[in-house]
Amino acid sequence: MQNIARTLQERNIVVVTLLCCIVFYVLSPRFLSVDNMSAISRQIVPIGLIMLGQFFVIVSGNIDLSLGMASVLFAVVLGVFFGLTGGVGIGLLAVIVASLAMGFVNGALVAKLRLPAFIVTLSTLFVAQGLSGLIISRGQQIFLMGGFFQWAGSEKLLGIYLSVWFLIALGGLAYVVYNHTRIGAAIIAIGNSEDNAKLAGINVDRVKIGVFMFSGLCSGFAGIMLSTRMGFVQPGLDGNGLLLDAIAAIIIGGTLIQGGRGTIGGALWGVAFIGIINNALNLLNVEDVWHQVFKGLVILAALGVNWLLWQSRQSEAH
Amino acid sequence: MTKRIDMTGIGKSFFATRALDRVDFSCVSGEVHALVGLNGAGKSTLMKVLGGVIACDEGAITVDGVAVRIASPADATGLGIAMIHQEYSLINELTVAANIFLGRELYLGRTPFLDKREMARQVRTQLDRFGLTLDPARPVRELNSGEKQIVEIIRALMSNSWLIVMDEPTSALSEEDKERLFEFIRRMKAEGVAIIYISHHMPEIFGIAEQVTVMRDGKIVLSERTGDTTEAAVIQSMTGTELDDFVKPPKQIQGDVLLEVATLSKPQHYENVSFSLRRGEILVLTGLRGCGAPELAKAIFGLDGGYSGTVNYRGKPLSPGRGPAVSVRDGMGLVTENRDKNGILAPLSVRDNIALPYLEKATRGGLIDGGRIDALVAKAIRDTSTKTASAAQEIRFLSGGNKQKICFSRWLDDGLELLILLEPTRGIDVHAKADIYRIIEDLALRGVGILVLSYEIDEVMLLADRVITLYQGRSVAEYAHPHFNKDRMLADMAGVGTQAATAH
Repeated sequence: MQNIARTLQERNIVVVTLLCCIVFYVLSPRFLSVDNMSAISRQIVPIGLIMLGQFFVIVSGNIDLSLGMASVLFAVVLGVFFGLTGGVGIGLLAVIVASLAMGFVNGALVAKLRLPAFIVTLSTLFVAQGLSGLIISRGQQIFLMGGFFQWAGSEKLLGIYLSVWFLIALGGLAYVVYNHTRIGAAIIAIGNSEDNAKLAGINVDRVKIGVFMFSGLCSGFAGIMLSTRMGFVQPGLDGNGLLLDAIAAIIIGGTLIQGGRGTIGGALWGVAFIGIINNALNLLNVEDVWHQVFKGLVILAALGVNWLLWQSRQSEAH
Repeated sequence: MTKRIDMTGIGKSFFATRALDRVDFSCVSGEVHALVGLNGAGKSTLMKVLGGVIACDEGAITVDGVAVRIASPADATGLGIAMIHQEYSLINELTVAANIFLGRELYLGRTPFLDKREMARQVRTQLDRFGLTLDPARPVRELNSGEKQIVEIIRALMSNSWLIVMDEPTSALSEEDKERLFEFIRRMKAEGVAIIYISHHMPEIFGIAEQVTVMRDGKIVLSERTGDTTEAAVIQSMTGTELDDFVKPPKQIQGDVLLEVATLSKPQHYENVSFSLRRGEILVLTGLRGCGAPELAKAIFGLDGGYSGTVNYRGKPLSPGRGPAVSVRDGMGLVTENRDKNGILAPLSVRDNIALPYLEKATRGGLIDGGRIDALVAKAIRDTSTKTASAAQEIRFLSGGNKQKICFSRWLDDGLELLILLEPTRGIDVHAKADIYRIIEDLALRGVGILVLSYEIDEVMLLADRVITLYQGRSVAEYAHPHFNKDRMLADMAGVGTQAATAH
């Protein structure tokens, strides 16, 4: 069993994903069409951005539940600024400032007041949900027309959507920071043992707050991408669905939910995997309810593998 | 260039207790200075002063004749003093090199990017210098205890430490790793590192140390070149001969044999251990940390099955690793050495902690009879003389001694036949200790067989009807009350006369 666990973790999410592609192709040849692949790539952008923020939070031993609903809030914020002023720049700026501020609040409460991240971010989740409903009431929509949204939503470079390029760029940046700067080492150290990280001279509180601010910023980016993709915003969007997809992607990618270990590459493949499952189940006209059951089972399997890995680590430590 | 550190006239009191009484202690680069003493002799207090963990009341510390102030662990690090603890301070998921450079990483030029190649190269250079082989790119989680210790030491050396304090460094090491550690220490000596080596293993001390210092009751009682003294002299000065040892009054044990252990072995832990225990008897296993006794006790309790040999309980063989639930049903109890982790349920009240084992007994028609629980709890608090504001008090606010009494109270039930105690008075004050000893004696009088693991020789003398000394997993000798000889027992535990191939 442990062999299975290890093999699955070692980049074999890639193999699993490709196998799924073959199966879906056999079931529906349209699956592998350029158009469909392109659609998948665009659909996973918000999940991918939330995943990048969440990844660092999880590796550092915490969780940020607010990211999904926060991204909906920030999409609404962008829409309102656009609706009021007709200007895009000020809306983008407002989203970036607000998302960093939200991350700071989460991080400060967790790091300085030593409150559990689960409870802090659950609370900010509800606050974000409430605020987005407060700004524009449920059922109401703001349409986002005009140059920027048109351009950001549908323009391609080398056949790939701009939003996808943005995800690739931010993913690359996250990869470098995680693997090639002291920040990455500090985050892993904190996720393994806060005490030992402190002993090594790491400013644990500052790193934690920074991690939450980055995750907040990622939810801001996700909000922007949501609005550009759909061309309208409304408070009833399923932000929590995005959040859960992102967490699932991270775990499927071999990151320990307990923190301290994980790879960005694995998590990005996890996002692709989730995107493909979501897409294929739509394509195959699977009923919505079964769609979720199937996804749930896949995540459960991934969690099982994750647990086995953790067990093997415990026995190694002995 | 030799460096030296001198601690002179160091004094420290905790309330009325004189923990350090004008102690002089020095260490010179290129030498190993062994520090020996029983628990509570003042060794760790002295090292905490040196490490900046606690402040001394009086005395001075000089490095190469220059007075220094060590007010915090950072001060000690700044002076090149490093403490290697038994619990490692490494990050499992990072590589060897990343651990060594954690918090003071090297960068590629002026970029924010890490220069992993250069860090690995520097680590490799250091390892080579000491004749060690270890891949700097390996994650620390894959290393064994000995390799982790090496990483800790290399990390200290690479942050310019010249004085390394090692606390019982061999207690968790295999023979092979010990050999490697000794070779490492010899190389460090040659490179001008000073080492303070806290240990009780006489063969190790006389194998690698130049100087040995013995502490007792906060004072230095012996400090000699190892060539000018003997293992026996060191042992004798540890215990002191002027005091008459207390031996408890004789008692008749008439119970039949309750537990019989025959040729119990588990590689790396214990080897070929045999003994028996009668009802009403208190048998104490003793040795140094790493002597294998806790693992032995856990095997008997059914927590661990990977052993060979047989355990007979009430005349019937026990199946290995059957789990604690079966053991408890059969009348066994265990008080662990780590009560905060495995003993108490910290968020709950005193009452709820005590009630745990009585819940079944106090259940009527599927519901718990609160009144009956209250009565049982009140009785348990009385019987163990637990000091608590009320039964509703949260247990985490109690002192170590009172928490321990509550751990005992779980087993005061009539059904108990065998009680296993691991370090029953660890971290407990004198008064609570006396209460715990009384509880243990009362249980023995009731006919319960009691198996104790203790590392404290005075406790062994006070408590035991019979003593078995262990060294590196083998039983050395057996002593029956009242023929306890403290020096002989300590010599057994310290491996005196054992040919340690490692330490020459």
